[in-house]
Amino acid sequence: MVRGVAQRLVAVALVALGAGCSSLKPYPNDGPIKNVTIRTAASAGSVFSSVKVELDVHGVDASCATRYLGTLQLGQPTVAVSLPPGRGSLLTFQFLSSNFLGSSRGSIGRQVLITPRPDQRYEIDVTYRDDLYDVVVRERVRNDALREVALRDLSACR
Amino acid sequence: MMNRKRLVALLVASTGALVLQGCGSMPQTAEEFRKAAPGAMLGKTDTYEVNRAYREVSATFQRKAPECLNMAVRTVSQTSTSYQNILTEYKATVVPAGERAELHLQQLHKGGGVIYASKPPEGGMYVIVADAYPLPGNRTRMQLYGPSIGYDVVYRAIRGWAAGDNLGCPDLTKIGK
Repeated sequence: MVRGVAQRLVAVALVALGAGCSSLKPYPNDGPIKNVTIRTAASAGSVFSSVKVELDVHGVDASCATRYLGTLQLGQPTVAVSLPPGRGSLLTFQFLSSNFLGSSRGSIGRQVLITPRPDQRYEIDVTYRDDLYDVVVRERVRNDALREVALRDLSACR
Repeated sequence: MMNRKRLVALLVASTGALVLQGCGSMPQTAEEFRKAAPGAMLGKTDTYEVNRAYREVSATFQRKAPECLNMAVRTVSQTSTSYQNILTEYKATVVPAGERAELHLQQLHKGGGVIYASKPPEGGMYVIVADAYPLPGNRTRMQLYGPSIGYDVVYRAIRGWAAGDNLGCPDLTKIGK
């Protein structure tokens, strides 16, 4: 059961020398409408360490199978993203930390399953501070107000 | 150069808090862990109060503990003379009982890189037990049991959940650091 839970949540962390030497496929992010705004605030809390945030985007089909679409670097405070409305997208926010000179690296992920509604806008706040990370998804509703959306992972797609 | 505190913290984390568990039989239940932790080497207990109603603390534990703590963490560390690759599975259990809400964190190393002195319980060794007790005036008292070093990031997360002022998840790759 523990293994099942761990696999479903797919929150796998790695600490590996050389983990940063990746060549990930960039997410095209070329949809006609940028319906998701991601705000990122990440701080390692020390001059001897650093943290960066990446977003892996997977498409999710009707049978809940996933297909990797690419990765976005969330290096800017705000990034506008286009996700296909009416279809499931699995977002995995990867927090990649490393210490001085890269002698130790770590990666931990937070998975969010989202199906954007047509003509709807979403805002996602991603934070990493004092070794604590958080992802909050809000949907812009009437009167321009924001409503927090409960986070779901892929296990919700069954 | 690795200092002594960090070395011990790494040992505690990478060996699954074996120092805390001792060389005797491993606690098989949360209650056994509560009794063993205060007297164990590198074990500790901590108590504090938060200005938040018990039922809210319990609800936050039920929401955040599975979300943030049920995961697998692979750690690979390498020096000029050693190489270590360990997959660690964490399992959180919340028992929202009547008189107290309990949060148990268990840890199980996979792959044979860590040898247990005795058989761990189902789900892995207990590493942290946090109990929340209701207090008058919508306050809650927290009682924690666990290692004295290496798990600060988890203690801080639990404190944030209890107080309701920080609902972030702990970066479990920071355990032992």
